Amino acid sequence: MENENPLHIASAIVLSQVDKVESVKSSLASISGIEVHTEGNDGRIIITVESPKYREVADVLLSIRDIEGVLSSELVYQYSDGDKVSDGDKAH
Amino acid sequence: MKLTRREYIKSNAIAAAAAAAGVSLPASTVLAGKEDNSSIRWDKAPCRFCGTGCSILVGTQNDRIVATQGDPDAPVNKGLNCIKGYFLSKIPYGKDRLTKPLLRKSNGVYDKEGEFTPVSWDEAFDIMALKWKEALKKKGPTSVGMFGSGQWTVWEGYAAAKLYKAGFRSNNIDPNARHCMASAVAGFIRTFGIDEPMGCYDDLDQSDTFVLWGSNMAEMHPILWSRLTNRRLSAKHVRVVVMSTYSHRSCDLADNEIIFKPQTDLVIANYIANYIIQSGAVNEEFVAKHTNFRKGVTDIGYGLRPNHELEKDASDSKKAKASKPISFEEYKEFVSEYTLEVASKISGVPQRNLEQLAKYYADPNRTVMSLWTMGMNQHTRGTWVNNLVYNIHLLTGKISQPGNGPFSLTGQPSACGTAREVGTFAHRLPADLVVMKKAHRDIAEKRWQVPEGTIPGKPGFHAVLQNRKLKDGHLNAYWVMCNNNVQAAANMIEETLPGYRNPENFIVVSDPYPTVTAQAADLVLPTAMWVEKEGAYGNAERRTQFWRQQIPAPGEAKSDLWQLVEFSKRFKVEEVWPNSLLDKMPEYRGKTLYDILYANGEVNKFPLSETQAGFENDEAMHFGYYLQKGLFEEYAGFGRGHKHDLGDFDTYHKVRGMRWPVVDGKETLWRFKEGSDPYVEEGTGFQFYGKPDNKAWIFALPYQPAAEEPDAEFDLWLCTGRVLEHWHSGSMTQRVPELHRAFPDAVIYMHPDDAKARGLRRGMAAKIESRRGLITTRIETKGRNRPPRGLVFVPWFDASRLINKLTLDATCPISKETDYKKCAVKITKA
Repeated sequence: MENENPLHIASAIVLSQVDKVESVKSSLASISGIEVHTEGNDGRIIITVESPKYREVADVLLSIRDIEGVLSSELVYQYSDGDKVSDGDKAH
Repeated sequence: MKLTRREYIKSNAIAAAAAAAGVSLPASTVLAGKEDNSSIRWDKAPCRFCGTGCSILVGTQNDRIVATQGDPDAPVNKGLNCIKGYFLSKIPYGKDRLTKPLLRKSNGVYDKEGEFTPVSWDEAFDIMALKWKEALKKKGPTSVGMFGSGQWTVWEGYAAAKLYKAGFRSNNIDPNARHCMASAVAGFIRTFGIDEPMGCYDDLDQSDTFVLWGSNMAEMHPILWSRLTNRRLSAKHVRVVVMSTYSHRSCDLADNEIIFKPQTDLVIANYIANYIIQSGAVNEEFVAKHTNFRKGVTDIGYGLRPNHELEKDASDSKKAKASKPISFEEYKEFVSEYTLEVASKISGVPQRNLEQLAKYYADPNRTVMSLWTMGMNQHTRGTWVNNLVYNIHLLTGKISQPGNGPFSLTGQPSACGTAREVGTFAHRLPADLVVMKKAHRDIAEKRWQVPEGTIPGKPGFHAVLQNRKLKDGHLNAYWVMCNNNVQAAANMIEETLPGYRNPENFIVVSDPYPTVTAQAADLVLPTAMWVEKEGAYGNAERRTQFWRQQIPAPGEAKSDLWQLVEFSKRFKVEEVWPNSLLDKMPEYRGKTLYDILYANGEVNKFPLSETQAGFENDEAMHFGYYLQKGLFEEYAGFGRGHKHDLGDFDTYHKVRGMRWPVVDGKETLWRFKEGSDPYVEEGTGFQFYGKPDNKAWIFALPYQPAAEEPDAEFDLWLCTGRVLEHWHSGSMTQRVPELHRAFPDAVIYMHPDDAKARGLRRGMAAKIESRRGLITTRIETKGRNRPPRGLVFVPWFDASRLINKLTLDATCPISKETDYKKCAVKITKA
């Protein structure tokens, strides 16, 4: 079943200040690669980050913390195709 | 319905995140179903990075890690993972991974000035054994040594300590945990007589007040920070106080941000104690029943070389730990000079901020958790400041109860489980035993089945002393394993590199990657890492966690455990022990250290059949028995029944860790408290049983200045530390290009006015210089770390900007831990 298209996916829980959930959600949605899926009533937002490039997922995950109103952003799940991992290393 | 591979993985990712957040998903998202058609094998392992001890589910496919997930069944991280976790699946696969032993050679033979040349393991161990035997013959056991790690697995640390202390009869083994946890250890031992926190992470979900004493948890322990944040947001009365010498991300959540002048945490702690006494908030019953008062000696120096100006008149430096009993009245008198006015003046913190903090501690209706890491430990008075924070909790009785207690956080994954509990320090043996006490040596020698008198009674060289002894030519055969100490040790140009390149010395470095330290070595051994071997770590809350080998190691890389045990076969006991010792056990004549230390009927008693089918175990297969289990069981014998009980080996492979003491299969959440600690006797309430009379010690200890403070020429404080994306020296994270890009090189965090006063602006190159060395890098005046005027912060992960060229090798004279947070520098345009 290997890997005609490189695939790098991570999911994360973004904790927003409750009164800023809407603006945080729209900031998140405006970032390429992020998909907002659902939210709890306490400021928790479930997102996925997806890219054909391993590095972009990391950059996006790191940038979330700088969004106004974000209290924390924690990773839950990450998948990356093995062959693409090597490509990332070559880029280094 | 048939999902594509992408949809399938994505829906799993969403489901995992929703479950961890406790958020329900729309029906359309749940359709992923449970059918796993991806052929990924999932199994648990603790994270390789910090001391939090998050459990990770590691997904492997075709002997390669393809995915990871925060372990939803883990009480520590409850399905979450920090950004470092994103890179876990990649750390084994750096392109410069070492796969063959490398020996410096010229014209085919070993030459200290030669080029690294691939050799076989046989040739590597031949030259190593030769150099060890030469040193032992010429100068005896004090000329061989080892620098180990709080990242060693439990059994690796145990095998190493045994090889050195019982095999080579040298106490010159010390872990890099000396650089991060030694002051916490000395603080615990001095106040409580037993190491490691009494409380646990459950306190983070329950406390009313969190006080950070020199810790940036938001960046360094993000998962614990998220538990603390949840508590803060879910209960309105909860307060967060962040104390630091510069403002950082943790301050974003602070209700009270206290930026103090470096070293004045000593003043603040004594002021709080004084406030508690003056305001009548002492818990008199607790203090009377459970504490003693002591006054420590004070002229203890700064742990520098004896000929240093600061050491010459330090009359107490040889007995820095000494103290004498005093009364409560004498203690009260001692702290009375630390008034609010005095504390505010010396620390530079506004009075109202200090008073509010003191009130939280004094309020009998408020629980308080104090948290700290390197701000308190990397301190020339690190043991003292640990003692002083315990004073506050003891005076108020706010200790060993849910939400109430002092809690020393840990930087490395097994600083507690391996370095501390196994006792891989130069003065320690397993389970808090020490080499200085004959009765303790007797216990170890008996358990290890070696003759009385095998273990030397004098502590070996600690980390900083090892570098000095290498430079001075007294320590000649030296093995560095699982750490990057050339980059990590302070004052590298004057005190570290000269010893590594001293022609009298042979330096071996075992590492998965060509670190700065490996490049300074004579022989480099390629090392299997993390889930390329079976392992056990112990985290900061006394939780011991196991994992199985998930993937093979690349090329000829071998685990630290394999290296230690295999190397022991190279020594006939007659080559190492004197006849007088062998006469006590003549049956050992003709045997190797391997026969005596490992194939001893204990370590080799569990057959291969007890290893788990379906998982490789390279070490067990090589030696022909379940080596890890044998080492663990022999080691656990030290602590069981002696207040350090570890659980059953096989159980650890099933559960998400257990917090010791584990008695009758039950873990202990709060030690020293009746009802939660099985070692506390009924009717006592509390017993600090590390001390013979069950009473903890409250210490009278003063404020004293740092070893080196800014002056007219070197006019700024330098503080060093970590940033979120890079873990310690960066030898693993720096190889992940994504991390490298997010934070490309170490910058100087500086106040904009300090920059302007030197004609500098954000982004400009600048020279930062101390009396010992200089580096050039860029100025950063914005962003996550915001120093006050007079202080700069530089991270130490960057191998191309080695900030430890500048730092001073001053230590706490009690703990021997280096102060990486304070020295004087100047900054000019590059």
